[in-house]
Amino acid sequence: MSHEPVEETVYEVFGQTDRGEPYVQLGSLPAADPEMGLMLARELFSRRGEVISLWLVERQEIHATERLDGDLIRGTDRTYRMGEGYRVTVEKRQRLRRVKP
Amino acid sequence: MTDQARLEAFEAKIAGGEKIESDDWMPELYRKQALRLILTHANSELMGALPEREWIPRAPGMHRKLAVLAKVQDEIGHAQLIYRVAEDLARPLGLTRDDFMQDLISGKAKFHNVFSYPAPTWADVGVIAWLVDGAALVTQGALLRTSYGPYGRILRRICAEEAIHLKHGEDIVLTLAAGTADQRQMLQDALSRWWEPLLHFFGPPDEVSPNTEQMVRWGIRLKSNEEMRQEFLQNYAPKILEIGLLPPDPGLRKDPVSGVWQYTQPNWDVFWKVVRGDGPKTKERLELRRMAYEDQLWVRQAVRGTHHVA
Ligand SMILES: [Fe+2]
Ligand SMILES: [Fe+2]
Repeated sequence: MSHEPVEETVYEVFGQTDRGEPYVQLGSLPAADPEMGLMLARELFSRRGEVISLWLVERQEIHATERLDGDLIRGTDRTYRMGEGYRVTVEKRQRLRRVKP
Repeated sequence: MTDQARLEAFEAKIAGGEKIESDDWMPELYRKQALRLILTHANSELMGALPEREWIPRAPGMHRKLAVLAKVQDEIGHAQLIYRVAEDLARPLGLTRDDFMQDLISGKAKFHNVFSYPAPTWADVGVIAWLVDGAALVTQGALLRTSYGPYGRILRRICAEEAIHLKHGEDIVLTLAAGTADQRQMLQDALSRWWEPLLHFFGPPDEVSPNTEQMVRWGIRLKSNEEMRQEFLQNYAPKILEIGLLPPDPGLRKDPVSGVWQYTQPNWDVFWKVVRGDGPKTKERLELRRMAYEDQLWVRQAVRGTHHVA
């Protein structure tokens, strides 16, 4: 009984803790096929019923951006996209109240 | 980018508290050090299941049986998760899970000293789950902030489960402590047996190897052996004393001024002997591991799809 050594498939595992919750990456596992992978995923990530549903995605099927440097992104001024960029509206309201006759 | 510039950018990332991911550039030494630490952990989870596994058929009552069974399953699950993290890290080095297993079985790779000891009584099962898992939780808790992202992520799940093991162990211990004189004696004997291995668990206090310093500098590990041993004593010694158990060390006391726990140094020659593969149960358990690895080849082939040249 001899086989050629073959490359095994790595799957990324995602799980949903409850209806309405997002699927979150839990880890990865190697498996012969999706059926085996899902069985293994249940054993590895939901022994205590932590998730109500699991997704298995072949790692090589994932399309990803490059990972950017956190400081580099957050260094750019994006306050116009953020709530805290508009705190001044409260002051404007107060000023208006003061000038009202 | 030059290697020097890449190294500087890498170190700046770590200094800024950012995590390293498996597909990031990293110095070869970082890769090897992280891999060695992670594999020691994975091997320990796998070998750690063996002493307790012996107790599944003998645990008193259905509930205890299920609890020990679940714990053993958890430890094997932990090993699976950690080996997967190690596989990604080891890939550029050309190493696979099969290499990890061969190194473990041949005695080349290390696992924690505590898993080389027998568990002769039911009280040992309680002491292991409470204090050995407690000690493991101290080291793993310190690693939650490791600079290697994939390891830190998987540790969150593992630590949560270790905390459950600890409760299960404490429950066994407290039940025996409230039991008959014989049960109390069995418990005291188990504690006396495990005390030295538990002090050994964190490693020698004066480890100042350049290797360790580099690992701390790169945030692969974060606390020294002695810091973790102190944390363990601080957490568990009062709880042990409170239930009337006596650690076999007349020198054990907390310095009222410094808050530092004083203890008699365990015999470190014994520690090194065990680490080198000469513990009371090391060979027997590695042999069991080898048999399981060989007998279950067909399961791995079915589940993982690996086809080895048999
Ligand atoms: Fe574990
Ligand atoms: Fe555990």
